[in-house]
Amino acid sequence: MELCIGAPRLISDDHHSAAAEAALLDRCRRQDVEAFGKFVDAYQNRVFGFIRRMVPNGEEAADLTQEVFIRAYQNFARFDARSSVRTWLFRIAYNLCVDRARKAKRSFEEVGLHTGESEEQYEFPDNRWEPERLILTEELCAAVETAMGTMSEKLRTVLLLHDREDTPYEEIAKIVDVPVGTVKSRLFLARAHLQKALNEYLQPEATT
Amino acid sequence: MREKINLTDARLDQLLDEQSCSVVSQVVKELPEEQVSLVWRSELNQKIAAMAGKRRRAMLLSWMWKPAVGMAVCTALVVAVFVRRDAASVGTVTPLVQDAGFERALVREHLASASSIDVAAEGFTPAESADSKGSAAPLDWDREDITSAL
Repeated sequence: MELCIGAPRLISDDHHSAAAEAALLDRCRRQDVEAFGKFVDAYQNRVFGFIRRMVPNGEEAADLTQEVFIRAYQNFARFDARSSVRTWLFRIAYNLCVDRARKAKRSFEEVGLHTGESEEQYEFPDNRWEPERLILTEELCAAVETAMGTMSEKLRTVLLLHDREDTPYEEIAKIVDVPVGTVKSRLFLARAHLQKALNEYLQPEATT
Repeated sequence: MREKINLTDARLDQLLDEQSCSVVSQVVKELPEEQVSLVWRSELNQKIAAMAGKRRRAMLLSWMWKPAVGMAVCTALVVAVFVRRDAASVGTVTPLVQDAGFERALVREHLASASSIDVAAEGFTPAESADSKGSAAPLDWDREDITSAL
């Protein structure tokens, strides 16, 4: 059984096992520097990628990422494995981003999902689109990054955690401390926002 | 395709499943991974090593000081117990000194000792001296005693 669902193996040997991972986490709990180094190797880029897209300033994102691992090292003894270590780590990262936004006197904006009585309409993806035909060019990547930067942090958080990190809804709900239904609605809105912003790149494929 | 949203959970799940198959979800998934720099990692390693060193020093100090503190506490307890015991036992002994009475006894003893030396030189006890002083009987001198003294 994997300790970290969807997460890279902490031990990259061919004969890794859940027991070996558990042993590594135990060593991390005892603040074993070498074991913690392996833990950082497994998550550093993913945590940095998440924070980099939450925080506009690159240097600040790097500092926050370091702070995530420093707090993880200091508090590893308190990690009780009730959730996966990935959930725990990204929760630290998310809380630091929230604190940073609070210090910058910004709030994570809430974008609500209107009820059935609303006149709001959303564009739904055309099932004729074929993702395999899409080439992820640098231009498209830049457009996606820009589009993600224009959505609220709450939507961006859920989008990154689910679509990029393959985090289940329940774990995302624990990370951001909202109900699962709220996670799903935020995810839907985030994708709709992104799609709307990327129309000029996606419509040529949609019309074929 | 446009339609109004029906926000039941089932409908939301269906919409999300449709979106999952769309370009949008795939594009987000396939964004290039951000890489941390070697400098970043080196700085983090230094900070972690510093924290580990601090923790080791704190543990070493606690290993050194805990036994010492424990022994000090035990010693203090032992001393406290014995002091209390001595103080309790001191209270049952009759003091030798009762104001000036002890001083008078000392003076009396000294005078008696001095008078015994005056009468019969060293070694003569004050009791014997007192006996001889108070006695009206003549001294029992032998002729040999008188001639040897001269």
